[in-house]
Order: sequence, then structure tokens, then C-alpha cells
Amino acid sequence: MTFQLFVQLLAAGVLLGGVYALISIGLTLIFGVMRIVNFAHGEFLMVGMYLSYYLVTAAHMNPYLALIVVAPGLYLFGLLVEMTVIKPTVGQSDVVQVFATVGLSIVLQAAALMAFSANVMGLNLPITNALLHLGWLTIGVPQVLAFVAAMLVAAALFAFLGRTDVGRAIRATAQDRSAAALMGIDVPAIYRLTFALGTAMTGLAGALLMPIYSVSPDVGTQFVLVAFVVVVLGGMGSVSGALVGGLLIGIVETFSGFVIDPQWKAAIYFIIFLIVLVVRPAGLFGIRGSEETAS
Amino acid sequence: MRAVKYLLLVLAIVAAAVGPLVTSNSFVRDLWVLVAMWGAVATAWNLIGGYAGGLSLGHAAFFGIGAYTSSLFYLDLHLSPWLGALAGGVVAMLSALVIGFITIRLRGPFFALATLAFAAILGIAATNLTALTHGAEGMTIPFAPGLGHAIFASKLDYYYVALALLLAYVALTWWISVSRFGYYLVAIRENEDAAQALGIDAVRVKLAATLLSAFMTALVGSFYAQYRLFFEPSIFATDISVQIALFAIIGGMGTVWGPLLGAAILVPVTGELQSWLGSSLPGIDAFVYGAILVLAILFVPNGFVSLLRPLFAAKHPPAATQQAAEAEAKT
Repeated sequence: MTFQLFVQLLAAGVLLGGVYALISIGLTLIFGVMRIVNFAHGEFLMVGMYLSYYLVTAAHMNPYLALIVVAPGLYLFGLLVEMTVIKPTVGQSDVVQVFATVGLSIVLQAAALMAFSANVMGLNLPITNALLHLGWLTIGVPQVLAFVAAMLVAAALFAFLGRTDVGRAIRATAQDRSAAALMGIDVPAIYRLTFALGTAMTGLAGALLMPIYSVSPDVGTQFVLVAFVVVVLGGMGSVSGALVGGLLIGIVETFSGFVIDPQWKAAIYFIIFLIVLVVRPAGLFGIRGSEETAS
Repeated sequence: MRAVKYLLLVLAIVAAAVGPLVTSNSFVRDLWVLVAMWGAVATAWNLIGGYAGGLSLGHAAFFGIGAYTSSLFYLDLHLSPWLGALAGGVVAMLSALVIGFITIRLRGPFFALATLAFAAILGIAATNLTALTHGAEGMTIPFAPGLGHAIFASKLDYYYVALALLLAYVALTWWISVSRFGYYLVAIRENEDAAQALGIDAVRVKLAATLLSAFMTALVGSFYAQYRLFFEPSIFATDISVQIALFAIIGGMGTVWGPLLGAAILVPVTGELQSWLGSSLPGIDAFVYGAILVLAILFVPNGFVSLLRPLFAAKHPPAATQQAAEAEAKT
């Protein structure tokens, strides 16, 4: 492998990793605070992608300007889902939590199939095909934008969680929901907010993916497993873990796709996933004990 | 009350034995076969999912291993699928041993994800090991009816094979539910630490349940291959794992009859929805199905069996007290 090729692959891997980090942040936020593993996460991404697709094709918006509609749109969508499906499952058994969201993902996929048909749809605009040439290094502009956006979103989330009163209330709820309630925090309201926020971030990710990938009703299934791998690798509930985990998986996937048959690259990250679960189930930055048998 | 229970049991067995004879409609007979088949898989899932409390979302792995093993032995080595199914069961047990060691300490959703990843790896392997599995082309078994080939011209023959498996699995589950092994499993599910403290080797007991469940699931996988005579790597898909778990959950996990009840409700509902709505608007059948699932899980979390329970004497503690005890244990 030449140095040039190595750098080219590394750049591609880091950019892909940024996308993976972006789609994982909402999942890990929701888990960290509510202890709910959202199996409908991929479908939230799909909803964000469709919304962005139609804003661009039907309303002729710039795909990056569409973000300012997609994020609040998905925030409202998240509120609605929280109040109808998620709220009744809080504090219930794992079975109820897992399968309520599994059922939700079936419903959302079917709704998309009904509304938009099974056709695979992509954007074809000057910006979606734009390339950036840095000497001999060539990278796609949408990839760079998605990566930059992932970093900005993560930074904004850090600032929000660290510096604002609501952010502190969210972190307090994540640490100990009973103590938080005793300190006067409205825990159900924090749950609602966190879920809607996580959904909005996932929708944002969908809108940023739209210039890169095509959308179809089952697009979520292509990304949801990667998101789970990233989140488990980084540590369930850890935003910085999702960033690092996303980058690692992106780089590993790009290199393994080059070194071995690309068909097997998905198997590589599932194997990493299983190894992490055995060796360090709390992930790189995770909350220890959250994954092991009930204490 | 006991008399009512046995009367219902006899009625159910008679209905199951003669039910498919009443109709000659091929679609309806197919539903009978599918109910028996998925009922058997869900009953196998229930051992690990319901009794031991390990929410597996990877049972398609064992199902697919059964289908591939018996078919490969049959097509490449001309071994009768009856024996091939046993070989598939053994391979599934070996794989369950590996995945069991990895996952057995993990909590609910993490266990679900790990088992899901396991099935996904097998799906990728089945797609890419084309020399062995024919890859995405899938496996086609030539139609050559005969008892030794385990291929039958009539759906009825398939039905009685599936029914025999199902009855054996339900009987085994009943036996486990009243045996020491079954009580160990329930003790581990309710409170693993307390069970350990009482001297139960939780890892060993759960591993045993996983191996048994894998073996049972693989046998049905072989049956599926012989019944459909065609399958693809998508046999390892998450949809199938989810489906298996849902039958048991909707029917009532951790009960002897729940998984079968779930299959008996959901299989015809899916089939009817598909034939009734599927052609009007693609996706509407899945939409209705998914909505039913969400509602059932939110409003009948203990499964439809729990609705029937008042019919029988309170042999098991009522669900309400169980929930109260669980809530107490959590705080």
C-alpha cells in the first residue's frame, strides 16, 4: 500500500466515521438518559431523509438549508412518538421497551412504503457530486460537510449539556433519576425533551446523508446496525464515545473493505461489536454496569 | 376447573389433528402448516427468551443453520434430511455454545443486540461463501417426493410432521416448567444474583437452555427447507428473528402455551392481511400488523395467554401480584 493510497483511505474512513458518529449521537443520548434502546432509530433517520428529499425536490430548497426545517420537524415528531409509544414503556420490562420500538419501526417502514413507494430515490444536484481536490487527494464535498456538521452538532450538544440548566437537569436525570426527581427536576419532562432532542439530531443526520446516499423505506436497516455497533463500542450513553466509536468504525470499515473483500466489511464490524461486548461491555467511555446482568 | 382445562386441551388437540382435513383450500392448509411450524420455533425461543429471560433477537441464526445444514448434507452427500436435521441441530448447538459464552452475562437489550449481530454475521457469511451456500442465488432442493427424502406431495404430510414437532416441544416445555431445571430458569430470570446466592450455577443453566433452544429451532429450520424447497441467505434476517420472538411475546412468554397461541393468532392475521390488503396499497398490511403489535405490547404486555388465565384456577400467581413483586424488587 502506497502512502498516497493510505492517506486517501484514511481520509475516506474519517469522513465516513463522521457520518457514523452523527447517526449514533441521538441513539446514545436517548439511551444514556432514558435507558431505552431505540430499535426504531434507523426509521427516524429514514424520516429525516425523506423530509429532506421532499424539501429539496418539491420545495426546491438547498439541501443544507433544509436542515433548519428538518431538525425542528423531527423534534416535533420525536415529541409525538415519546408521548404515544415511549412514555408508556418507561420503567417497564426490557421486553416491552425493546418490542414497542421494534413494532414502531415496522409501522414507520410500512408507512413510508405506503406514502413514498419502494423506489430508491436520491438527489442529483451540482453540490451532491462536487469534489474537493487537495493536491492528489480527492474527497466529496457532501462528505466533508457531513463530517463538519457532525463535529459542530457534538460540540453544541456538549455545550448544551455542560453549560445550561436544562443540560444539567438532563445529566442529573441520566445519573440518578430518583435523586433528580427529589431535587425538583420534572423527570417526565426531561425524558420528553431528551427523546425529542435525540430524534431531531437523528433527523439532522438523515438530512446530511441525503446528498450522499439514496433513500428508500428500508434505508434505516442499512444504518441502524452500524449505529448500534458505534454506540456499544463508544459506550452506551456517551456522546464522546459515539464520536470516537464512529470514527474508529469508519476507518476500520474503509480499510477492511480495501484489504479484504468489501462484501465482508459489515461482518468485520459485527465481529468488533461482539469482541467489545466480551472484552469491555461498557465500551470505551460507557457507564459501567449498564450492560451487565441486573445488579 | 381442572376438568375444564383438560377438556379444552383435548378439544385443542382434536382440532389440531383434524383441522386441516376440513378444508382442501391450499392457502388455508399452508396457514395450518405455518402455525404449527412457527409455533414450534416460538416454543423453542421461549425456553431462553421466556423462561431464562434472555431476549434473543438472533434465533434466525439457529433456524438458518438447520436449513443450510440439512440441505447441504442432502444435496452434496445425499444424506436423508431426517438425519441432516439432527446434524443441523448439533451444529446449532455448537454455535450456541460459542455465542452463549459471549452473550450470557449481558443484560436485556445488550443480549438482544449481540444475538442480532451473530445472526447478521451468519447472513453475510451465507451470502459470500458462494462455493458452499450458492450465495444470494439461494438453495434449491429438487422436488423428489419420498419419505426418505422428507419431501411430500401433500401439505397434509408436512402438517403432521410439524404438528409432531410442535406437540413434542410443548410437552417438553410443560415438563421443564414443572421440573427443577425450569424453576432454576425462572429464578435466574427474576433475580440472577439471588439465584446464584442460592447455589444455582446461572451461567451453566442458561447455557443449557440456550443449547436446547438452538437444537429445537434448527430442527424446524430443516423442516422449513424441506417444506419450501427453496431459501436464501435472508433466512438469517433480523425480520425472522423478530418474528419468532414476537410470536412468543404476543402469546405470552414464559408460559407453556403462549408461544403457540401467539403463532396461532399472528400467522393467520399476517396471511389474511397480506391477501386482503396487500394488493390495494403496498405496505398497508405491514402497517396494520405493526400497529397491532405496538398496541398488544403496550396494553397486553403479558401476552394473550394472560387474558385467558382467569378461565383457569389460580395455579400460577396472578399477573398483578407478579408485577407488584417485580416493581418491589426494582426499587
